[in-house]
Amino acid sequence: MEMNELVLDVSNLIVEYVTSEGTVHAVNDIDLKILPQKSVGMVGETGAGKTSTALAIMNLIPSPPGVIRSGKIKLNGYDVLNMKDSELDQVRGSEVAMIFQDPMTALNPVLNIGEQIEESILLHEKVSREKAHEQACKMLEMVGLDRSRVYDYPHQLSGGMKQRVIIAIALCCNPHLLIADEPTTALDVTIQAQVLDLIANLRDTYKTAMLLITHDLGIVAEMCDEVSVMYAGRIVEHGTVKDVFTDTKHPYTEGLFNSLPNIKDRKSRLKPIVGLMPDPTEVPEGCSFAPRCSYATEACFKRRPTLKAFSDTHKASCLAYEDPAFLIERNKHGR
Amino acid sequence: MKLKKVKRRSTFSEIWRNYRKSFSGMLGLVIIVGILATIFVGNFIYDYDTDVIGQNVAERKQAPSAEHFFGTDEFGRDILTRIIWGGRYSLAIGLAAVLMSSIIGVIFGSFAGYYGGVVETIIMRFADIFQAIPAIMLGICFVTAFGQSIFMLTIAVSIGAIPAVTRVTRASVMTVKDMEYVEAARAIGANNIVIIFRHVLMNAISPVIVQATLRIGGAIVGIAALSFIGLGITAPTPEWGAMLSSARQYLRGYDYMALYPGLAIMVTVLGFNLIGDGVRDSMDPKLKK
Repeated sequence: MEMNELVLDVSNLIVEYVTSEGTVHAVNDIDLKILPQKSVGMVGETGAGKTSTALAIMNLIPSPPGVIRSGKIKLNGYDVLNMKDSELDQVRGSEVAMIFQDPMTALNPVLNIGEQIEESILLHEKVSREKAHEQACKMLEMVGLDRSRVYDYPHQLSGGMKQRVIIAIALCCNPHLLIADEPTTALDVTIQAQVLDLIANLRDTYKTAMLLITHDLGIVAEMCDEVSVMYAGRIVEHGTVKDVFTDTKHPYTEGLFNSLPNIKDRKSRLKPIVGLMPDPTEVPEGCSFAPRCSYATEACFKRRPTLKAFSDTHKASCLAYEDPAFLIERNKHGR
Repeated sequence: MKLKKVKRRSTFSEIWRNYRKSFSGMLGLVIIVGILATIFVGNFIYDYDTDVIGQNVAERKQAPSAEHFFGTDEFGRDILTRIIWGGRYSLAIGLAAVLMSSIIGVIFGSFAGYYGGVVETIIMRFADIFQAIPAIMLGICFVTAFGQSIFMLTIAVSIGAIPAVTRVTRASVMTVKDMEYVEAARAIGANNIVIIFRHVLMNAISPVIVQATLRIGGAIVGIAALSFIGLGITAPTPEWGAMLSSARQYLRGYDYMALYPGLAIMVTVLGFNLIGDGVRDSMDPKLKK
């Protein structure tokens, strides 16, 4: 495979959930590109459309009520949205794999963990049961579990161990893209660090690209090469970790940083972003962040900003930058 | 560090390992195995023509004694012999009928529950229609239309139970199908059939199995009912339900004639229910000690 070939190329993706109460615009025209062996973090608050994007990549949006209104998703060359179910089954698990948020519910309680890892291997590789079993044992050791646990059932494992098993299932067929949907949200802090280290190590061993969905900017800084900040179904800022963290452009990203504790300034209170995300059933005419934005002008409520490139890698969508002298607070202090 | 020896355990041996720990389950198993063994041995001890249906008017309506443990019936036939011989029909047809209705009902129910929408509507409305007709009526119609034989009797008894199994399975499948591990299975590329039978049904089957063991009793009574109106096992072949029915007219003076076939049905049903409880408990790995 050529190095420049994209592992994931999402363009103009629109996902809606059509319900009797109205249409929920979950993802509104998203572009996302991931290069081989690169990790992209996707941050945003609950309901920003992160998980919908992830599910759309695997064409797993529950339908009904979910509808992929438009868009093109190229996954390592496969046109995911225009494939037959049987072809999709081949792609899922072998080309792209997913680590789920809650390890407590993502394992089947009546199958032992060995069987669950084997299942994925048997679905995608033409190997005998014995070989698959051996491979499953090896995977268990890779994720730091003793192979004697292979016949254990999920309820016999702790949350962290379950998440390790889920990682083993995701990586056993050596996927080109790993989607991790808030992989540590359900774990306690000490285990979080271990699991993240494990994911990072295995990602490097298997040379897998990764889409990491989280709302923890710290995790992104540690694990990822690039960041996409999502708000109300749109990507509002995208850049390398360095771009976004040191040269923040979008007021929403700034708001996210302000709502984190700052170790240098222990006395100051956290500054949460006031207000709530707009009702996803009614997309506002202007910038969807305008009602909560301290920089908002009248124009922001009338016109929707588009992604503007600041450098080769850095893009943000904010009308304020039409004034070339505009700087957000965070950058004024930083310089 | 002592390494734990790892050996592969099949799902079946896993269930059996847990099952052995259940006292009531083992009791039920002992009862049913005992009944089956008796029926099997009885096959070699008794001769059908002389012992089972051979009439002996001189010994008719005798109370239980050392010679006839359960007494004799209105034709002087030994009731114990007839219960042992009759057990094969009740048990075999009862089990076959429950098995048949369970398999068909589970397939319909899991498809209805999993796919929802039009598939569900069609299957469930058919189930409604069938449920609106009394099971015994369905059985009668079936035997009348397609002729009287043990196979047809099995179908006749099972057909009325299919809607109930379909409902139970559908309800159970619906609670399971939205679990995250089902989505996870889809995410590793499992197709719908694998998901239904391996991931959904394995987690949804317990209430169906318990219900099935409870229905064996009902099926045995169903066979008896059909026998009573002359559409099931025909006289003089003994069958528990038919024996019960024919003893009905002597209930006032010779209650033992109805008592023992009734006890046979009761003990058998009890045995199957205890087995059902044991199976349910052992299939849930969370209860493992």
